[in-house]
Amino acid sequence: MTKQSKSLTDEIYDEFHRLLKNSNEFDDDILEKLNVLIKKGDMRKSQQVVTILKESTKVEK
Amino acid sequence: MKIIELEIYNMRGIRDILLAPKEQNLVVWGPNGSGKSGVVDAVDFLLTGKITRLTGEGSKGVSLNKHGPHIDCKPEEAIVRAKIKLPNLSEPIEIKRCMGNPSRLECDKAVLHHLEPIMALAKQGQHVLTRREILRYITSEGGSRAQEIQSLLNISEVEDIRKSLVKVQNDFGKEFQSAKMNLDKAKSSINATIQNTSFSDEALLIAINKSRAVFGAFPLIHSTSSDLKNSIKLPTAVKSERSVNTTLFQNDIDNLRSILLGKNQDEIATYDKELKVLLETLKLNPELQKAVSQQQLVMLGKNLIVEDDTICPLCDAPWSIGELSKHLNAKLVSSQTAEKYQSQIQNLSDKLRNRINFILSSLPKVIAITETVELDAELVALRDWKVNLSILSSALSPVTEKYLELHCTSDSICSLFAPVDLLEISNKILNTVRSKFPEATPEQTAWDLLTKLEENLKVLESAKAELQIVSRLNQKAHILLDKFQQARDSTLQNLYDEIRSKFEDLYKEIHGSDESDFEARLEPRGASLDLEVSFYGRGKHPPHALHSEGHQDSMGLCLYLALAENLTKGLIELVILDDVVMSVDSEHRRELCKLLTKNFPHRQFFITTHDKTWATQLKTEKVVNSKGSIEFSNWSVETGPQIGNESGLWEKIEKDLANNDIPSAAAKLRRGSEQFFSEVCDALHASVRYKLNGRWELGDLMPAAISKYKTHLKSAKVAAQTWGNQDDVKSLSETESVLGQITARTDSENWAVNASVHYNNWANLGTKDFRPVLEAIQDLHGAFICSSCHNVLYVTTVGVNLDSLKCGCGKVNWNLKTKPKT
Repeated sequence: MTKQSKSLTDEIYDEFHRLLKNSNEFDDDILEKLNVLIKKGDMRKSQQVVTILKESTKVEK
Repeated sequence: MKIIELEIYNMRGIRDILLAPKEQNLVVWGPNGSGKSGVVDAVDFLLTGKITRLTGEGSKGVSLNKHGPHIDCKPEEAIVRAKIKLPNLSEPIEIKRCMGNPSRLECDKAVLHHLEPIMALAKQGQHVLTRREILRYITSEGGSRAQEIQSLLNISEVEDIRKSLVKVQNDFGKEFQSAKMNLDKAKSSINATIQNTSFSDEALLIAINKSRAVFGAFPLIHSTSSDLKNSIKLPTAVKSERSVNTTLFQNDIDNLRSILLGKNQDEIATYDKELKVLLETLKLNPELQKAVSQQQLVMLGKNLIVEDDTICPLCDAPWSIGELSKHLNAKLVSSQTAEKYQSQIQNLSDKLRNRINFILSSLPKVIAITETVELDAELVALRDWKVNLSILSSALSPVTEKYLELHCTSDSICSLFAPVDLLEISNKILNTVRSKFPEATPEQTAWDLLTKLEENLKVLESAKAELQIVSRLNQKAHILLDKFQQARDSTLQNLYDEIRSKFEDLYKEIHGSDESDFEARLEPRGASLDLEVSFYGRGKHPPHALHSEGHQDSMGLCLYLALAENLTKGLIELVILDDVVMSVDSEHRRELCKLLTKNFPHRQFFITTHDKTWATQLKTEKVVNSKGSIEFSNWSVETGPQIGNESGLWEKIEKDLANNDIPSAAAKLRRGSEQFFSEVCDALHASVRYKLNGRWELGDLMPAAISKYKTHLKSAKVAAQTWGNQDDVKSLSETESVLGQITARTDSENWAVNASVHYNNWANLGTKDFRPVLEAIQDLHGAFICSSCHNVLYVTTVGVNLDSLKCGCGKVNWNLKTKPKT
């Protein structure tokens, strides 16, 4: 076994998650949804990102 | 995953072979065209269901179904089977794949879930390194290198996500522009209702409060649709339902007529003229026109790429490092004039469009009432006008050459904004309406105006809310993309730092003797990955600028191995090195052998090479054991490669003898001995007469090996005597004596394995005749091998001086240095 337990993409995604959290632009619920989306590989589908962003803006209202 | 056993039937150039690496390293060597690549292809096919070599660029007309099986076989007859060891399973498992059904991996269903992640990973080809990839890592431009390495690291998904986020950002950008236009339209409608030329909240509030005052209602501080009629008690004389209000109708007619005012006509003519001059200038200046028309595309391109992308995201054309970004920047700079034009054009078209919106706020209502009063000719004229305005609006949204194609003079553009007989038509309609509908009371007009403004305000509020939401979405989409790119860049930077450090260490292990200060710079620049290496203290340069091909091969291999810890995620320990060190010289290959054993003890290397010396080094340097060195030779289309390795040599010869096939046994003995003594000559530094064709026969190798061995034994005995080590002297004398007896027997028998002995000469002889020959040569082999570790004895050196004669386990360790005289 090599030392790698977390894939490089996971490292990027976790850092992305951290930076988003620090930006204070998204609440925890939305961050979690974005996290699930990226881990499932669905963030390549832009429509799903749009849906979550719209949802996050709705929450702000 | 490691391979224990690999069986290949009827695949590519192979008919039927069984390899048993038993989780250890394996070298398959032999001349070009001996079928070695068939082994790589077979492993590739077994793990992925495809053969990478038969896909990609230049593979038109080549198919797995037709060219995967042996040329004389059907796909159903081409099969690869392997016994493998998985990291999480204690027992080995067997897997099989047939070209008749390449997508189906045959295995025990109970272990399928263990295999799936391995097979998914294998599809990315991370476990195979070929010379083609080495060139891509080393000699390619930064963008291709980054793509290659990122694809190897399996982060192409990351780029897909970035593109998806760019799309989200662009889509929201467009929605933002559209929301702004909707807001402008809503304001135009209010302007038309209150007969104001430009929108202001104060003017709106004054109009609202004026109407509210008619009912004695308190003035509002803010104009909101829900409060507009707040606390107004509707007088009984006022009708709440919609009917024709002649006063407001007059307002609408006035709005339409306002376009006829000299001031407005002059403005429209001026805007039109200026707009046409700008558009004509563009038309006569194709470069400027191109810059304007491409500006949006260039901006889109700028958003899609990061600095130093080397592939155009729109057309996939290749670019040198930074050139694409530079090119787009130059385009944007050269389009500054175009941008100025674009801004002026936009400004003029906005002004004209606002006029159209203003008219279109009143025109439909006038059309509806004209229809009610049945003025057919006027109705046709008004409808034509509306159509003309729509055409005009379309030519202005966004403004293009379409506007010039309207072929309008300044006068006729004014007539598009208003029919020439508008005054006459509007008078007729107004008079008819007045004659058919009673004049509205001030209360009714106030009520109807508030009702209309209520509708207008609802649209305005909705447009404002929409703009606010879209603006926020646009902002969030920017943040999402920005943070994603930051995360990617920082993570990759950390990784590249690690890889660079490991790469330097590995390279120095091979080339440290002449490049001990070797340093590398591996740096991401946007989507590109720059690699520069130091050159003998003369600064850093691209690896292919000054280093030899051999050094470049070493760099490619070291870069791949530096990446190795991040590849295959511990699921595939197998690494296939397919003819990757062809330009590395013999001395540095020896260092490479040490590097592989020292740094990657848990990996299983499958190495193919056409270079016998490299194959021999791999064995003498213990990268592979004697059973792991497989020679492919005598390939023919009917039989595939002939496979030889010393491990099974004696068993195979015994099998031939059992079948009374003496010619085959003799041929195997000769070939096996040639292979064995070439290793011995290398290990003992024996001198063999040089041959340009590189083909040394047993008659060249065996005497040289014996002679050198005797010399070393003699040197060791002299050295032992100078050190006063009598035990060694005695032991060496015994070894010399045994060697003497064996060589005497061999001298009398080796004619039998001489290449010049005709095949048919053995046909008349039997097993009893061959047995003494076999035993003599078998004993001679034994004289050069440690009885404990079974490895060939070898000499070590310190500088240019011989140091010792030893074996792999240390049981044999004769000192070759004499005691210095005091």
